[in-house]
Amino acid sequence: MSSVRDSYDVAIIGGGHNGLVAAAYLARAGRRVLVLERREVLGGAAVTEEIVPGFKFSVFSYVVSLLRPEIIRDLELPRHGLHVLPLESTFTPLPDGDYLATWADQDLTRREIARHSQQDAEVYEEYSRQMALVAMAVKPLLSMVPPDPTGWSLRDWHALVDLNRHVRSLDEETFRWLYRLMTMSSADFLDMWFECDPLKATKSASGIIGTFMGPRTPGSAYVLLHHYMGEIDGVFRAWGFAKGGTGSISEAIASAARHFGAEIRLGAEVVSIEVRDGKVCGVVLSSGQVIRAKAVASSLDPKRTFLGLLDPACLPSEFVEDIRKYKTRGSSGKVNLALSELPRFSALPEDGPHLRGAISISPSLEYVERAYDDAKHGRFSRRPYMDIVIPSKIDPSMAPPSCHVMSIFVQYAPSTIDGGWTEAKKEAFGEAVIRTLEEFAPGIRKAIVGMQVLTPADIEAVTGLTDGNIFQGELALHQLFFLRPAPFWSRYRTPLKGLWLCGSAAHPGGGIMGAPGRLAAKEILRAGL
Amino acid sequence: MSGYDAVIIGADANGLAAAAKLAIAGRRVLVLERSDGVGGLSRTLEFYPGFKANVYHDGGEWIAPRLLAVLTQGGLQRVERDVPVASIAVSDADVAWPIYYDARRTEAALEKMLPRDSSRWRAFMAHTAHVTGFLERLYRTPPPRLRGSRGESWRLMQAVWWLRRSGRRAAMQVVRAIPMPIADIVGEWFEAKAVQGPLCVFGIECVLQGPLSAGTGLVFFHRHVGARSIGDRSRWLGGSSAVAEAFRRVAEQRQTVLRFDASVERIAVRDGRVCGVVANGEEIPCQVVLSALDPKRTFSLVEQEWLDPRFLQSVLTYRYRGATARLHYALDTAPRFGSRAAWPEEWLGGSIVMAESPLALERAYDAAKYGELPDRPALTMTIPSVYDSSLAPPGKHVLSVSVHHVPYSLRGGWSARAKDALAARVEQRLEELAPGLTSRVLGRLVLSPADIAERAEATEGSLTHGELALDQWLFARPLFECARYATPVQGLWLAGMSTHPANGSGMSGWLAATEVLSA
Repeated sequence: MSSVRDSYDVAIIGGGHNGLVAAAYLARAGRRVLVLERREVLGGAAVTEEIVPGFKFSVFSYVVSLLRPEIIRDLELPRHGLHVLPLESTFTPLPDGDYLATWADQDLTRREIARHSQQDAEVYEEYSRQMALVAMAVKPLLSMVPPDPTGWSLRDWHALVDLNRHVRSLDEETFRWLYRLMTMSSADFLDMWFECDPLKATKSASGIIGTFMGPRTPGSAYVLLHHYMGEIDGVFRAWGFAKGGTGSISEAIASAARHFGAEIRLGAEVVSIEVRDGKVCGVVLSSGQVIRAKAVASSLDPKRTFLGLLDPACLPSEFVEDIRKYKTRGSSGKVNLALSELPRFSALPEDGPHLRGAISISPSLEYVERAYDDAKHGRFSRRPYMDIVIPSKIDPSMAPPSCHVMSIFVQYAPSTIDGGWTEAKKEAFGEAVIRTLEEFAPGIRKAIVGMQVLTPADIEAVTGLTDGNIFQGELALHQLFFLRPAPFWSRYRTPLKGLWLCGSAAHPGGGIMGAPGRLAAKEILRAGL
Repeated sequence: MSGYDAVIIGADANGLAAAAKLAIAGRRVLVLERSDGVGGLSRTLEFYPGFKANVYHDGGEWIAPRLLAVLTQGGLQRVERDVPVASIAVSDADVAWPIYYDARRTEAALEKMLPRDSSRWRAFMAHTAHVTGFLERLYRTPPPRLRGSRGESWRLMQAVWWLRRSGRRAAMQVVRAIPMPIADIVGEWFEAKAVQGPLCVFGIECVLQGPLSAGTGLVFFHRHVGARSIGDRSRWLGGSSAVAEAFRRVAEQRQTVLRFDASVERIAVRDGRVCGVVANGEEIPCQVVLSALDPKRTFSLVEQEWLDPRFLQSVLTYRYRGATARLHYALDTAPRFGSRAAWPEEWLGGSIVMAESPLALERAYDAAKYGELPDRPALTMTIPSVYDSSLAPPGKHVLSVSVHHVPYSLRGGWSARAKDALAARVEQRLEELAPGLTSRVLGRLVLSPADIAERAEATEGSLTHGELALDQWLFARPLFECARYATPVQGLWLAGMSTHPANGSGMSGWLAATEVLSA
């Protein structure tokens, strides 16, 4: 029997998209790889599941844009079934019955914004151009293994020199905007450009997704940029929706990994990492089975990896302290609805192109900021910010004929809620979402035939993400680049020989990007495994 | 020809530091001041017959050793009786702990009150000293240009080298700490809210930010550059304007002319070059003008045709957001603090910082960001008459209060009623801390941020001439376009607190003058 081995070059903990990307790259390089997934579904937070019969939900992560193009190319993902359908518009219904929209067609967008502010319409193109330039400037950093600025090695030195050269090669204007994006709040940043409040609110929302910050919190502009770096078919800031739901991305990567020879095991929960003589030698499954491997790559977050699967005593105490300090507060929830008919928004009641894109409940900056105020004081937002898509509008296979699925990303639902999440609070949270939605789309309640509410506690329980943080750790300035997830250990290695990190907790962070998985695989290979 | 090599607008510590530097280099300098005295935002004034106060803030910021040498020539004197206490941290009337200059004593005091946190005090002090040590190195010279020449890179490298020499882990801790929110920083070191709350106040002074905002760590460390302890500020004999007075003496000894009640109406520009200053209707010709005013006020003196619209846009988007109100009380007796047992007398010489917890501070900020008055604002108080008898008649005292998170843009505006409401909230808190205090008040002065803006010519009442934030710091302060003091108008330089290193004790003006001389 050659299909079942008991010894591998690399065992990968977790079959999320990053674990699978790492597996695919390692297998492609000829290594014997085994992926161990606790659940019966692959994908981690990138899964499609039929929660209500006939309705397929992208349960957690719901749009794609950040997936690195080199990964799509290297792994030939389209050949393995990846098909991204563009999500090109944003529709923000307003309380006064009006709306604000942006469309794929630039002229249309300009005319629409001009309806609200002539000044903003004029500056919009310049804004898009400048953001694209900054995103281009940051792009090389996404494919870079962070150097250690305190290191003495030749490699650190080279990387720092390259980085310095890169920064100096930017034109003055781009450098300034980049610096501002790295340090400002998204509200202040957008104030420099626009005057129309709903426009600023909708744009600023990209700066808060997945973070424990409000649009006025300095540092949120970076998250705005992070979300701007999306690239589909070479077009910056294009978001897409995977045909068949987000799970089909994971399936495509898994198919590529298998094609290169990786083995993937479902229902295989790793309960501990085996260490012998200060070196990792394998993992133990909940069944008691021991799997030997020369290296172990964990795509779980660092708290789960180092504090859950290992005895912290085998790690340097300073490192353990850094991992404990690593901030992972969750701030988002998810509500998935099965609908018997399309929602009718007061602003635009009929079916139309606005339902094919993102629908943003962000009528004003103050609305979003107040939603955050609730969260920081230990409550879920009574009137939350919501990012809504109706995947079945684009991919009818997601729901039965004439029915629809609606994916609602909700902020804020803090993991730090006073007294913890209970069933009652969860229900009240779901109700707050529907009630708010009713304000903009009256009658939607009657169309609901099935509903799934996910709090950060649920996200943690299902996916294992600590505190339900969707980025495996907050994208705060002090947790980026060479500080992610901990100082000195940003290069996918860990203080334990043979143990590697390949999840979103490593540079460059979260989103369905795949970059941490790819860079980790490259580092593992570079280490001569 | 008027015969002045340079005209300086504004006689605050920075304007006069620039004057002193230029005068020492042999330049003939004219300083124009709108009001009738020196000091600007750090003026000390009589606010009630016989009582003087540091009107806008207490000053006492970092002074580089070489500047201190100059100031000593100008007669600057540190308060003789060295007070053992830097600061008192208060979370409520019964939980107050002193921060002594001697860290061991602080530790012992904490041990009694909050034992779990006492053991970390010295390590936290060391961490703070390390970060501020690095900042001090950055603050000694004009800001580095990341994209500048090799020489510039070399200077930056020296600071980095200093950092690197302290060990890899320590160096990394500095880099990590600077962009953190202050609540996260203190949260990593201390458990008790009574320790965290007051420490967070040092990170939100003068900014419209809550302790959960990134950049408040920078405010904390910036404030502690040169400090001997957490919460420390230097105390000079004669109040906060003593520094400006000392620079004035140095400058005047070297033929600098100082004109009061001289209101500058316009900076005259010809062919993109400064050619003079118009004050009180008189044009004073000169080639070099240094402005200690903030950028908005400075460029409002220049005709717009000389300014690039993009540059003007940057000037307009520079943030001020004053968030501090200031109240002064003339007291007919020494105040008695503490609700159960009275505080020891030596405590009264320190700054008294009152805040319950980081979240309480954040709540106060929440109100302020929507333009409302916080219900329970955090306070920083001083009683300078305790160690400087020149400020009040014998036996009587001055209590000065900085109220945090008071928005300049108050909804409904700053009416007399709004000021009364503010004073009522402050006095309610004072009564919690020092029962009976308000019955000993002979007179008071209430200054809202709007009053500060008007009286001290500080846009939006910002005591730092623009919010100190990560994006308005170092090579981005006040604007990328004029971070090195020179402006797009040839011959016009910025020399105020809006420029690097955002220092109210003269370092900004001094460095600006250095740049002028080397140009």
